[in-house]
Amino acid sequence: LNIGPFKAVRIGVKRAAVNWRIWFVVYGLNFVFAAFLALPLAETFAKDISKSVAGRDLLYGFNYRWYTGFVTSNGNVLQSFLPQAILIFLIYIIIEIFLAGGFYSMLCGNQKIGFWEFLARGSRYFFPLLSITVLECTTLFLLCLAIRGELSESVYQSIGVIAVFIIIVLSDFIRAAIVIDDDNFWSKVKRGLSFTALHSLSTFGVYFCCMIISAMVIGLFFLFHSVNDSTISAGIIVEILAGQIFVLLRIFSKLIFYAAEAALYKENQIEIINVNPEMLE
Amino acid sequence: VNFYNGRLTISAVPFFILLISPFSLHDIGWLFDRYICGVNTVDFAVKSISYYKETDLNTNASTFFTQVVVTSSGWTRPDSNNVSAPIDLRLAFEDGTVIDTSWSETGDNIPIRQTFTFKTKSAPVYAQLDPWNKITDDFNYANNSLMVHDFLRPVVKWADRIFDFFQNALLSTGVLV
Repeated sequence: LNIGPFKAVRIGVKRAAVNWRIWFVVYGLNFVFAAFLALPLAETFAKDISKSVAGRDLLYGFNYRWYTGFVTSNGNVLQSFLPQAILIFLIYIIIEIFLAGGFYSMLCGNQKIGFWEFLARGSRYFFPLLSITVLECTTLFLLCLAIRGELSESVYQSIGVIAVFIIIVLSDFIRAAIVIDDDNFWSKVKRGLSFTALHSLSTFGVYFCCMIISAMVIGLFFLFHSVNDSTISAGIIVEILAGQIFVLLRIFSKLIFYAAEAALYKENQIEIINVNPEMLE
Repeated sequence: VNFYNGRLTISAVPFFILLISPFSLHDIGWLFDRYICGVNTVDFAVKSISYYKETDLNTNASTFFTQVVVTSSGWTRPDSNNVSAPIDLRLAFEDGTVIDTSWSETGDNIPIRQTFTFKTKSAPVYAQLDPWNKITDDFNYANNSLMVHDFLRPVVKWADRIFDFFQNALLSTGVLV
């Protein structure tokens, strides 16, 4: 009955492709928030470089001497931008948490969900998903605090990376449990944790498969950058389009991951329910 | 530095100034007093560039009159000896030619703002102070030059890169969701 990581990813690709509307919801949200963040900075930037030879030189590569002057003369703008940026990032994360409930619901099965049902699912799972995100961030923070003095050593760096990876995997499968199971919060947390531990090969396997897909997308993007001439107008237009295609592909790989982990959890959880003694009684 | 048996040996700065001053055609006290030993910052700037065109109706030949206003602040100002630091100025034209000149004056009432006028056969493209980056501690390099017309390609390119950066940064926060 169990499905492996490759089958889970195959199901993930299929479900992410079928639910193409989600792409545009995530893309639209990302576009609007990125515009809020980028516009003030780009405006300051444009004022500084549009009339100077230093700005013209920026077409051919980054100019650190110009950047030092830019920071010196626009220090206040950059300082006042930081709190605004943090606030926008926080709002974005909260909206993403709200939407994640709807996304999981759509991607974990073949059922069609309407817009209002999508929002209802989002609000239903919002607080459990927010709680798990807060728990995840707190654990990551405590981990960083614990090893911050030792990070100069490569052994601790490796341990840190592995620990962060494990925490993220565990949190993700708890999220899947939150949406798929009907139970109280802590039972779902327990079930998500035990599922990840019992099916470690499949759960971590899904992660590695999705990481390979993401690495291929990133590799393609860098390959494009190395061959594209962004000093001419046509090259700049192509770069703008490629940047947006890259973002869409990243969203696609993220949705594949959502769908794959939901499929893995949904298909393989029967085994856990079967070994539960209370259920047997 | 002192000459000792025909060789240079390390000595105090005042002696070094005394040693090289006779060989220099200009007063270079500013170099030691303000640039090397001073703590003031420096900022050169091209404040404006404007031009007008005159056409001879008989020969149909055009002449361009260009005015460039430059300023300096910080240690380049005239010192007690009324000597200012010299700075190179380059003016580039549409036909690819350039005019290189320098702003270096001595005497009373040296202005920290100077207007240069050029009469040429081609329209100007940009004016640039210190084109060879000799004054390395000019704290705002961006205002060292001014183009006659806005050059939008780098603006579009870098605005897109800033936008891309934030799009990807926002997507990367998805690891927490």
